[in-house]
Amino acid sequence: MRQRIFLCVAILALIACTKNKTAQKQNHITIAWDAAPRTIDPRYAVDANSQYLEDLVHCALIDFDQDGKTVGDLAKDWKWKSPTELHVFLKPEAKFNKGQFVTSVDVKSTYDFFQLKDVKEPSARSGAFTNVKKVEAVDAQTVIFHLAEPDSTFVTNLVVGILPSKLASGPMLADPALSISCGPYELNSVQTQRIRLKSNTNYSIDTAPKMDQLVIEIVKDETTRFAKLRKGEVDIIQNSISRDKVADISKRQPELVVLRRAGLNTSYLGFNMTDPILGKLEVRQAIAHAIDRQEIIKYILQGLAIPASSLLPPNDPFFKKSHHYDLDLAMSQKLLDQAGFKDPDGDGPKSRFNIEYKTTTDLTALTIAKAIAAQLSKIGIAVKVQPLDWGKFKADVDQGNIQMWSLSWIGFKDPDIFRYAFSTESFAPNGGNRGRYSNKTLDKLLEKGRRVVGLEDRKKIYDEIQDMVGKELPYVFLWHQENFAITSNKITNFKLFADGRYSSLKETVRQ
Amino acid sequence: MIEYILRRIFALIPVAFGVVTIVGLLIHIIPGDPVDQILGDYATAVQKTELRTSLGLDRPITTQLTDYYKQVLRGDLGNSIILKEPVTKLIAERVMPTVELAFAAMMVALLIGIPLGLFSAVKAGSLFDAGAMTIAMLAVSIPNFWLGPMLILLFSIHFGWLPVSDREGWDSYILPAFTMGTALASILSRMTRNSILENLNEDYVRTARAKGNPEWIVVCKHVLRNAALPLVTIIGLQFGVLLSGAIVTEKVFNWPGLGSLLLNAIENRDYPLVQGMVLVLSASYLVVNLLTDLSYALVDPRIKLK
Amino acid sequence: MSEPKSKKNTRWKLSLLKDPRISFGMFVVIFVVFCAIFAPLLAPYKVSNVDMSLRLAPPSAAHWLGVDTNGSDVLTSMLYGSRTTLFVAVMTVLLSLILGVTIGTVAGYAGKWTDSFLMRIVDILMAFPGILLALTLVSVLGPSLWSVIIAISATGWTSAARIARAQVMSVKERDHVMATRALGGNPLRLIRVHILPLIWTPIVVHATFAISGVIIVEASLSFLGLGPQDGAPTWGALLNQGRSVLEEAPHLSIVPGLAIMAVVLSLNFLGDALRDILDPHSDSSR
Repeated sequence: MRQRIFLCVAILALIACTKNKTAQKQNHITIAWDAAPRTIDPRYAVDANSQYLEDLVHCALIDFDQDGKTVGDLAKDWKWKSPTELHVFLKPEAKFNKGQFVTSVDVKSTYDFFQLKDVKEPSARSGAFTNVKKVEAVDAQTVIFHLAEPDSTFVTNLVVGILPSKLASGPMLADPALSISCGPYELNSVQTQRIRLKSNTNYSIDTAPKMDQLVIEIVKDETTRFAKLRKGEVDIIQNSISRDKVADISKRQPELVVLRRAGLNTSYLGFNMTDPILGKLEVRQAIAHAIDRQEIIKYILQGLAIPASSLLPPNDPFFKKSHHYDLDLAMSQKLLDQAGFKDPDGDGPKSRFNIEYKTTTDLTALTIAKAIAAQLSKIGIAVKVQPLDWGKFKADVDQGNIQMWSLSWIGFKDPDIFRYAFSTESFAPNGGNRGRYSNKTLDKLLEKGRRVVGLEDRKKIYDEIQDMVGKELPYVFLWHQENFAITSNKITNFKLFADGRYSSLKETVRQ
Repeated sequence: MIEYILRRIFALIPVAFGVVTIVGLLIHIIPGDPVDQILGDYATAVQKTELRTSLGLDRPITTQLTDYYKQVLRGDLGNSIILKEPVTKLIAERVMPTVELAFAAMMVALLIGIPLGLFSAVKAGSLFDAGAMTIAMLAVSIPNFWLGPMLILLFSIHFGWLPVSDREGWDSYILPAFTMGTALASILSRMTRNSILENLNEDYVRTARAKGNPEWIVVCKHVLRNAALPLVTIIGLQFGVLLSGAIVTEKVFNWPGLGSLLLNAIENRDYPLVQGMVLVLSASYLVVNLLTDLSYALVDPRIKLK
Repeated sequence: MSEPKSKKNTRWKLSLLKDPRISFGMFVVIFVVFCAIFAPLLAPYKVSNVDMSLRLAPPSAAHWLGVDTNGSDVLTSMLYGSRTTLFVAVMTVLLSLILGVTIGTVAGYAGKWTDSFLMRIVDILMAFPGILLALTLVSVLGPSLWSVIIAISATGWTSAARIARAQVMSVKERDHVMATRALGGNPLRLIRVHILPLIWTPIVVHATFAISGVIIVEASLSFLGLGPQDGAPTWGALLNQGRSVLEEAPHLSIVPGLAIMAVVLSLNFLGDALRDILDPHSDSSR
C-alpha cells in the first residue's frame, strides 16, 4: 500500500514538473551562445560574449545602433567644449533595477575605476582610458571628461556599463545577486551552462523588454546547438552556426527563419613582414591576385559575405575604395617571377616556395584555409595548412612565430583600428600589429587621424591611410562577413546589429 | 581488513603526488597563457606582466610546484584563475551531474548487458547468441561523439520524445546515458556470457542439475553468483573510466559535469583548476579501484585481501 | 600450451577454416590494408584535386561516395585516409607494446622494489586523464600523426605492461626457467629465450583489440580538435567533419562511420577468435 502511494506521488510530481516546465516557457525567449561570458562585471568585460551580456544588463553612456553608429543610451546628449573636454548629459529618468536614480556620481565612479592605481585585479579595459586626466560630476546629470590629449575616437569608448558608485570602486563582481544594473534586463541567475535574465521593471530610458525572461544557453557543440534550435529548446542563434546549414534551411526546416544583415567585421590574410619571402611586396601582391574571393564566398560562406578591399567595410562612413586586387593568375605568376621566385617546372609538381599557414581548428576556418591553399597552389606556391588550438594559435601569432595566418577584426567602431593593427607602436603583444608592419609615414598619419576632430578632416586622413595600406598590403583583405541568425518562426521583431549585439531582444516577441 | 585498507590508502599518496607533479609540469609546457584569456585581445604588455606577477605565474615552475604541494597538504586546491572561485567549490558543483550520468550509464549497461549475456550463454551457439554478440561488437565500434548526435536526431528531433540537452528532469538523462552506456553494455554482455559459460561446466552446476533443478534456477541461483566476480572487476574499472571519460559525452549533450569543466579549464589554461581536477579525478579513480578490490571479498568470501 | 606442436598446428588450421569470425575479419583487414597500400592507384582523383563548387555533393557517377566539406572526393579521401588511420593505429600499438612489454617484463622478472616502482608509474598513468596528456603533447609537438601516436601510447602501454608482468610472474616459476635462473644464466638471454616466447599469445590477442581501440580513441581526439592534421585526414577526422552536416550531407558521416565500424568489428572478431584458439583458458576480461 505504502509503495503504491509513493508511486502515485511520484507520478503526480512528474506531471507537475512537466507542466511547470511548459508553463514557464510561455513568456521566455531562449538564445544560445557558443561560449560563456568570462565575467558579469562590466568593468572587466573584454570578450565578445561578456560585452553582449553587458549590453543586455547594463546601461552605458552611449550605445550603437543597428548600423554601428554611435547613439546615446544613458547619455541624452554630449558636446566637445574643447578638443580635450567632453561634456556628457544624462537622461534624468534613468534608474537602477533596485530603484535608485543613475547619477553623474555613478558614472564618475565607474570611469574613475580605470584610473585607480593599485587595484587587486587590473582591467584590460583601462587601456581605453589612459588618456583621461579627470572625470568630473558637475551636477546630477552632467559629467565632464578631461583628456590629456585630443582624441576624436574617445566617445566610442564610453560603452562601459555604469555601476552604482559603491560597486564601481569595489572588487570584481562574481555573484549575480549582488549585481545592480540599469539596462533592460537584470541578472536572475548565472550557471555554468545557463544564464537567466529577467526584465528590469525600473528600466525607463528606452522601451522595456516585451518578454519577462531571457535565457542564454551556453552550448559549445555546434551540432547540439542546432539540434536544440530545431527541437524548440532554443529560439534564436546568431552567427554561431555553420553556414552550410543556412544554405538550404528554407527547404529543409520550414519552421526556422534565416535573418541576415551586413556586419562590421573584416577577415584578412596576415603576413609576417619580417619573413624573407612574404616581406616582399610582389609576393603579397601575387597572393592578392591569386585568391578567388568570390568562389570562397559563394561555396563556403554560402554567399553570406562581400569581398573586402579595405580594413573598413563599405558601410563604414570612413570607407574608401582604394586598391583593388582582381583575380589575375597571369599577373600573379609575373609578379612572382619578378620577385625572383621562378617556378622550377611550370605546371609540374614542384613549387616556387613553401609557406606555412596557421589557423584554428574551427571547421569553417580550416575549410577556408584549405581552399586558399588550393588556390595558391595554382600559381606555384605550396601552402601547408597548420591548424592549432586557440591558445597555441594566439601565442604563436603574438610572438611572431608565424608566416601567414587568417583572422578577423570584429566590432570596431572607429577607423582608429588602423593604428591598433598597423602602427609600429602596436607591435604584438602591445597591440594588434602581429605582422610587425612598420612604416614611419603611416605611423604619423595614424597619430594625426586620432587627434583631428571633425568628420571631413579625419576622412581625408583615413583616405590616405587606406590608399597606403591597400598599396603596401600588410594584409590581403578577404571579405566582410554578414551577420546572420536562425530563429524559430515563432519569433518576431528580432533584428541583427552590425556589431553582433543583441539589443533588439527587448523588442522581440515569441508567440 | 582495516590494516589492508589503510595500507592501500597510504599507497595512494605517492601516486597522487606523481600525478600532481606530472600535471603541474605538463600544463606549464602547453603554449598559451591564462593571462591572454583574462585580459582579452586589447591588453597591453605591461598589463599582462602585472597580472602574471599578481597571479604568481612569473615564479619558476619548481617554486610554483612546491607551493602547490604545500597548499594541497593544507587541503586547499586554490582558486580558479578564470572563474575566480575556489577549485573545490567548482568541482563540488560539477561532481553530481557527472556521477549521476555515470550511474545512469551504468544502469543502462547493467540492464542491457547482463540479461543479454545471460541469454546468450544459456542459448550458446544459437542464432540469438550469434546475433546478440555481433550487435554487442558493433556497439563498441561506434564512437560516442557520433552515436550521441544520431540518438538526438532520431529521438529528440525525428520522434520528438526526448530533450536534446538540458539536465532538467529524468528524461534528459536517457540519451546521454545510452550514449555512454552502450559500449559498456556490450562489454558487460560479452563478459557475462563468457563468465557464465565457463561456470556452466563446473561440477557444482552438474550437481545442481542432477538434483533436477530447472535450468534457469541453476543459472540464476548458482552460476550467476560465481560468475559475478569478474563482472565486479570490470564494473569497478569501467566506473572509473566513466567518471573521467565522460568528456566526449558531456560535450555532445552540453552536460554541466566534470568533463566539460576540465575541457574548459584546459582551453583557458586555467592552471589551478586543471591541477585540482586532475588530482580529484585520479584520486577518485584510485578510490573506486580500492572499493572494487574490497567488494571482491563481499562477492566471494574465499578471497582474502593482502 | 603444453600440447605437442603438431596437434596444435592442425587445430590452428582447422579453426582458421571453420571460424566465420576469422574469415570475415581477415577479409576486411586484408581489404583495408590493400586499399592503404594501393591508394594512389585506386584513388579516382588526386589528393590536391579540389572543386569547391561541388562541396557536400551526394554520391554520383563521378564521385561514387560524394564530395566532402573541402570539395575533395570522399572515395579518394577515404583511400588515403586508410593509410593515416592504419598508420596511427598500428604505430601506437607497436609503440605501446614495445614499451609495455619491456617494462612489464622487467617488473615481473625483477620483482621487489623495481616491480613496485614501475607499477606505481603504471598506476599514475592509469589514473591520469588521457585527454590532458593528449592536449599537452599535441600542443607542444604540433597536431601531427606522431604527436597523436605518442599521446595515445603514453598511457596505452600500461595495459600491455600489466599483461606482460602477470605472464612473466607465472612463467618464471616454471621448472625450466627456475632451473636456468638457479644456474645463473644471463637474465637478458633468459627473458629472450625462455620467457618472451611464452608470453606472446596474450600479447597478440591484446594487440588486436588495442588496434581497434586506438582507432576509436583517435576519432574522439579528432572530435575534441586534437586529431592529427598532417597528411590525409584520418577516418575519425572525416567522421567528425561529417558530424557537422549530419543531415545536409549524410554520406559524409555514413561512409567513414561504416568504415570504422567494419574495421573495429573485424579486429574484435579476430581478437576473439585468436583468443579462443590460441589461449582457450585465458581470462577473457582482457
